[in-house]
Amino acid sequence: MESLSQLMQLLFSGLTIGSIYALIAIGFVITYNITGVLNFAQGEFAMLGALLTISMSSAGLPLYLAVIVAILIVMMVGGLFERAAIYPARKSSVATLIIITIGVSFVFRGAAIFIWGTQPHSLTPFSGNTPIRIFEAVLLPQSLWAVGISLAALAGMYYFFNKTYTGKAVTACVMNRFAAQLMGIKPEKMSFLSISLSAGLGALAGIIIAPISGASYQMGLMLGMKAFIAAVIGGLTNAPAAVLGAFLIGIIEAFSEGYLSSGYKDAVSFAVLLLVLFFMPNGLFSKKSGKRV
Amino acid sequence: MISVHNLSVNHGHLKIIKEISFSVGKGEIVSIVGANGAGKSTLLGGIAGIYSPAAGSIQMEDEELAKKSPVDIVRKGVTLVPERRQIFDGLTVEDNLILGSYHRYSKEKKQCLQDLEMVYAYFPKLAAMKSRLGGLLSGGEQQMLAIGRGLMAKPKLLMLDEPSLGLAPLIVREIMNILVQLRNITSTSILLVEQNIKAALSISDRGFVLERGSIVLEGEAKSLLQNQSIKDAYLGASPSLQE
Repeated sequence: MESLSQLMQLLFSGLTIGSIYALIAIGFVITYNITGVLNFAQGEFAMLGALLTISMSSAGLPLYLAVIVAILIVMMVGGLFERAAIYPARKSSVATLIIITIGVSFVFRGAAIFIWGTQPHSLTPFSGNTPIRIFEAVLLPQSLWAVGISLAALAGMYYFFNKTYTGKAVTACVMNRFAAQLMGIKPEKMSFLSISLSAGLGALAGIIIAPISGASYQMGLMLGMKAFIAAVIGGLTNAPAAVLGAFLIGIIEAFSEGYLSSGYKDAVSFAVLLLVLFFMPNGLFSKKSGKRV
Repeated sequence: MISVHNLSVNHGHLKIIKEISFSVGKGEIVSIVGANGAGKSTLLGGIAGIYSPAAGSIQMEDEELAKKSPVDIVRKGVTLVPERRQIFDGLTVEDNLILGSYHRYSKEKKQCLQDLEMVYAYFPKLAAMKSRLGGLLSGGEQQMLAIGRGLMAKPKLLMLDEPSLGLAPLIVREIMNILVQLRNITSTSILLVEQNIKAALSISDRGFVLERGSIVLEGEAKSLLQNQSIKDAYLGASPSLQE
């Protein structure tokens, strides 16, 4: 039974981290589908969301309010980033745009050092720290929050893109930009919308993970990288596949941390990325994938 | 209603459309016919704002449309139904149609939903497959969807780029008949660009023949159909152009 409980334990932690990656990976996919840009500043939105929440909550704001305000601020930062950095360069090559996003990620990280310093900060868990025991494994309430909020956010995204008028317009713009323009849909507006939305999702991910692994100015880099791997596994254009990819990466990491050594977990993730790129460059689920948000 | 004056459109350094002038009156059906590569699609793209015209003017009810963005041009009442339909193939028929009214949906949602019923009345086939994905329709149905989506923008001038492309003669006739009906009921002006010269001219009031970016012949559609040089160049020799 020892091994079963360990297995469950690792599975839980894999699902928790996977749900965080999923939120950021969705941001990658949405941004990529609509603007054609790989936004390497995506992980920094998670960092900004986490640190803003910590500051506001330690300044006395109730946690839920701090979370909402932080997400809104990060969405505005995302919108500003689109208008100031992506929009003026929208006619440049994709490589230029990607380098711009990398540059912006340095700016975000640098600004974070100025504001919050280099020390890690912590956020109190959303509902206590009393562990729940399931199948001999210990589950922290924050893990339930992580998985629950992620799934709710993903359901919200699904609803937005498939059921609301604006969401359908964004989807249409992804499917056929030319025809969308003829209908009067402005791709530039959709790009603004999608990047602020992705920023909000990233912020949410950072806030959820902060009580588990802390928050610091450099947390965005690794989160962003892992989410990027997840998105690539899913084929980059397919949001549901990216979510599956995120959970896969989360679980693979948890298992390699548990059964090999914690030092190997990043190496294993990147090895998976390389394998996918070598053997299935269109993603693990490429047969089923279509270009949808 | 719309008058195009000395319009030139370039692709890079190439002059594709060379100082073309023509007009379409209210409730008129006008065809621009010509062979592949004559510049027909570029001309429509230039009017719709997809390609920025190099020179010339496009006057629509005393407003200048040249150099305006595609969005502004749709708002002014000029809608292009593009070549090869370009429907949103992963969205349902109804979503495709309703997105056609994007430029006015937030302001007049009710009116848009009424217009949706009107489009279904023109195309009963579409009404029967509302919730099917656009990509799963046949070519003829997709063309109807593309036209219906164009109508949802409530155009004063509807421009169609090769609606007959790849369709069976019977379907072509059905679509042409619907265009005539549409004009008769709503007096929408129609600018039709076609390689299928016979089908296009037979429903048009007037026609223009486009060759290498210039208009080489123009007149009443009926007399163009009888014109000997058109018969020789487009209708007689090449069997692929025949219905």
